Amino acid sequence: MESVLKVEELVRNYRLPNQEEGVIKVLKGLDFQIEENEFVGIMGKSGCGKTTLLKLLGLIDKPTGGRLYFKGRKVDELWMDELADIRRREIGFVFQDFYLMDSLTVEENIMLPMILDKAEEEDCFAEAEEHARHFQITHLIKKYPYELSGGERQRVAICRALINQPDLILADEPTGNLDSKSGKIVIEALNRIYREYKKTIVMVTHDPKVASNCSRIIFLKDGNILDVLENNKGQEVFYQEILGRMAEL
Amino acid sequence: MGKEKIITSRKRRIQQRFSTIMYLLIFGALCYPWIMVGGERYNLLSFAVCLKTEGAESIIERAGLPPDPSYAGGLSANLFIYFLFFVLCIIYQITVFLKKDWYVNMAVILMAIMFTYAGMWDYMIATICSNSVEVILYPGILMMLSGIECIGRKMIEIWDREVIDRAEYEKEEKRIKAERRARLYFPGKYNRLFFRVIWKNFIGNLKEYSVLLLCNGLVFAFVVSGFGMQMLVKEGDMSYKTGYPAGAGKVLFRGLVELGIVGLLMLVLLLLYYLRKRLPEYGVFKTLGIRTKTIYSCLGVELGIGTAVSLIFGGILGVIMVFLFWSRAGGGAAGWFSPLLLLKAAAVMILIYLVTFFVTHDLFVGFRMGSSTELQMIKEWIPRRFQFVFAAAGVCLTVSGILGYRENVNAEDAGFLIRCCAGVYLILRFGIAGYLHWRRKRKGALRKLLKQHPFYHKSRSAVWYIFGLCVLQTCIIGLFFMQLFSARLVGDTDRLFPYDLVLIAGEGEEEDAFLDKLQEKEGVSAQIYPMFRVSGSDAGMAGIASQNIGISETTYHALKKARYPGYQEKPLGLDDKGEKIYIVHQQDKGTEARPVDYYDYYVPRETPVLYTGPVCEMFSPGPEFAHGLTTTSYAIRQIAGEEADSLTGVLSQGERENLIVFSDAYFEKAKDAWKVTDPYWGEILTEEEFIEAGAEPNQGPTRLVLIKAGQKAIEELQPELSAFKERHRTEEKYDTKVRSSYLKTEIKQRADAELQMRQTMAVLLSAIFFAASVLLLGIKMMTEKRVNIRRAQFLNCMGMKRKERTALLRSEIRVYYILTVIFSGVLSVGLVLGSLHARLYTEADAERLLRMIVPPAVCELVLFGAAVCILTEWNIRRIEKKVCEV
Repeated sequence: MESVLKVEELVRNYRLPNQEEGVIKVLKGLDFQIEENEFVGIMGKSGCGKTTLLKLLGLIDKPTGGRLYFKGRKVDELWMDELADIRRREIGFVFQDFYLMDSLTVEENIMLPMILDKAEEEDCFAEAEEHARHFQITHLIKKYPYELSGGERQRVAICRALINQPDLILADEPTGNLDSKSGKIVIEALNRIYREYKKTIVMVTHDPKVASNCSRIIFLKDGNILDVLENNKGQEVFYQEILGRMAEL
Repeated sequence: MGKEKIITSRKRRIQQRFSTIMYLLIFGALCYPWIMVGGERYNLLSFAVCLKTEGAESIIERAGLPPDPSYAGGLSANLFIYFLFFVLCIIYQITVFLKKDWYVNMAVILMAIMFTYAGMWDYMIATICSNSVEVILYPGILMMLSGIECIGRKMIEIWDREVIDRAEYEKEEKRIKAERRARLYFPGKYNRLFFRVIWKNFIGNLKEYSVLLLCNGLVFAFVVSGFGMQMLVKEGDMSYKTGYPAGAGKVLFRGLVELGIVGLLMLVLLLLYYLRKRLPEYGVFKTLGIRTKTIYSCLGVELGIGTAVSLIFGGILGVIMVFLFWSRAGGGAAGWFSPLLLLKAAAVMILIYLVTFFVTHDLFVGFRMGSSTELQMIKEWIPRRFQFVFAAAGVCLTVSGILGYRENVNAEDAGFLIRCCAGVYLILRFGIAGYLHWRRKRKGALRKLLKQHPFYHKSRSAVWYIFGLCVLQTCIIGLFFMQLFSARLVGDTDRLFPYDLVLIAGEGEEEDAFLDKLQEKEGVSAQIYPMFRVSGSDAGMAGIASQNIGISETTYHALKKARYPGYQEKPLGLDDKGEKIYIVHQQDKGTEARPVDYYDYYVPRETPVLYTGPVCEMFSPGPEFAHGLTTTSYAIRQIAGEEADSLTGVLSQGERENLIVFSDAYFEKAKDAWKVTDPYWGEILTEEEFIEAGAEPNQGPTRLVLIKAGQKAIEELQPELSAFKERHRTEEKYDTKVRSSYLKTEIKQRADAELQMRQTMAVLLSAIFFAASVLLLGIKMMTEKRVNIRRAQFLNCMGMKRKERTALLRSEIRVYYILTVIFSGVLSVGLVLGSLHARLYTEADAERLLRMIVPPAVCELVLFGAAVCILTEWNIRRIEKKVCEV
């Protein structure tokens, strides 16, 4: 099985203004790989580098050191526009604060990756409608994001992430801003994507309940991998294991 | 290995040939007869032979120069350098043939540079040649040839490798291009939806975009109106036709510079705000994978259309503004409007845009403005040590700035304003930091924590905003209101010119006949006083020496009596040596202070070097002319007293034609002394030497003629006046701003235009600076909106009432306003009082001006306060609306 993402000694440092130490080492040399049709969770305390890692995996940010391979291609050998092409066609993003454009309708927000990919107009409408139907938001299609609830907005974001049929979905705390009911809907949607659409999902989360849906969890601590847990004994056992491991963080 | 050897030996052969050719050219140049003395041409060798056989004295005589033993040494030294050069060239050629790399050619180049430089010294060959320019430039050819040889050799050495590298590089480039094209292949066109999305996204920010356009348009309108007014001044102001000092033009130029600076500031601030608002939205597109080229095209079109629209809007507005000024100034020919006006303004505007983009880019990157809110919220550095030392240094700097500004000799220099501003910044930066630290250590500090936290956490930004507001408000009150009301104080310009015609006359029969005719003519009353020119230092490119009118103490009292009938004579305290002088600055109340010896760099302006007689072109008070300062005509003077008044008329707004009063005894002595002083070098000559030096003994004016006459009488005198001007053409040619005759009707027109321009610019600048103050505060509120919303939401969750939250926001802005009012108020008072002192205002005039300036200044601050209140309430409403949404 081909690995979608492969990470070797991945390092990311930041230089913040007014910091006497000079450089903050967020990721200190990570090594792991993510195979096709995996649902990987990334967990850890606040500030351990989860979102930074997700940005690197999503090719939004560039690593300071180490190597990152996307479907066998070394990322630092790719041009900016190639990275943009990969983000547009092969990666779908779901963010905690949705990242929807308030000036566009729900339909336009969903179609956006297709529009940017120069797709045919009719195809855009058809795909948007199809995905909206799948996630039960057809009635919201002409509304604007600010008119929707948190759960509805996140479903719109998921539709947008899926519209170009990407191989990889990156989700940064998709349930973080939602109540438990909306969170449940969103996690069900992600589960469907994983099981029905056979997509690879990498999700950052704080919630052990949400994380128990994953097939594998990577625990980060102070920029290093603390542990990796595999989900092979059922969701409830896995949930207990996660809770146990979280206590160590 | 063998092939490389062949290449190396081939290279050597080419290098050898090239060196030989170049050095043959150098030898040829050395043999060329380029030295021309007494009509004969010599090369170096023949010149050396000539020097040996004939001797230096004979050559100097043939060159038509006075004998000087220094020439013999100078010429020999010059020839010796050339000889050394020649020897080095020979040595180098030998090393080339021996195939030795001893870099002698570098020594040849060094020697060539040395003799190029030495050729410009005194007593060298160039100084005795009739073709001295050619001789000075000639060594440059040798230097160039030796340089070409050196570079050429190096190029031959690396040529083969370079050719191979170049081919490899081009091949690689081609490969990369082809690969890039293949890998980034992105066929097809964006559909209609793409443009709809981009358009809707753009429309969503229309409010911010409109503000940006409006500001762009306004700045362009000011630039257009500036150029329009300049054309108008050209059309209407005689200064451009007669060469009188271009007062209105100068005022306009100064105003335009100030406008440019504040325009730039406004544009940078707005662009920063706009980009901070806009870039996160483009960030969504970027995350979703839009191509870089597409994103830049979108931004380019957005800003391009904005620029075009603002240029059109600003152009129309600018033309309307000039039209209003033109119609207010009395209309006339509308020659000021031409397409050239808009083109010139557009060129300046594009320059402003370029500077704006560079500054904005640097600020954006430097302050990480594109980063997330979390990064923006990082605590700014606050001074922790020596706060009170630095604050005290700020106080000293501010006080010294104001003290310097109030001196007439400093001519209200902008440098002192900058010093004041630097002082205020130090006081604010370190004073606020010191106060906050002191407060934190006191009991009950927690109660004030919320109020003081924004200043503590973002101390640098807060100080910059307060400082910006202080500077803008100080400019309005301390500079522009002063400019406006001092111009209004002048009132009717007729009072500035007590005489209808002022003549600066000389001697001679024709001059006597003309003055006799004047005195005899009916309806003409002429007063004639003895005078001579008094000139300052000639600073060459920096400015031509000012020429003033030197009179005796008796004449001064007579002029005073003529001007003010009830005048009581008082001794001026002048001495017989002419060291002490009394100055009457002939300028109106609205004109900035101007010392008489403005361009003097050698001695302080408090002790001006003033020469009696016309401008001495070469003389300067530097050490090499110390001997000249012992003569009667040239001396360092002490200012015994000075005043600002118009006794003969405000002929040149204090720049020229001021009255310099000497004691009667010195005046008698000096009035003839200048006639035997060399006007080029300042040396005393006999009359024969004087004429031999090419000067005329009676070349300067000696009589000040003040005429009161009707318009008809002056018109009748026109032919004689033209002849008079013709006789003084040489003096007028030297400095076009100094005339031999000043006609009241013409100068009054200029003064009126200048006053009009002064007031218009003051009003315009005050309005713009006021708008900039409000805009600055508005931008502060807009940029901090997100942070304030978060804080309000948090405080709301913590159970704080709306009333308390809004009071918190109000108190923060109140601190900004109060500090601005205190600092700008104190600074403005200092600057206004400083200006009054520097311009030598009488107590009565100073009181009148203060009465005029204080009420509008208070109104302005109240108005600014009202604007601050409105902005604050608007900001609170926006923040609270978001809190309610949660």
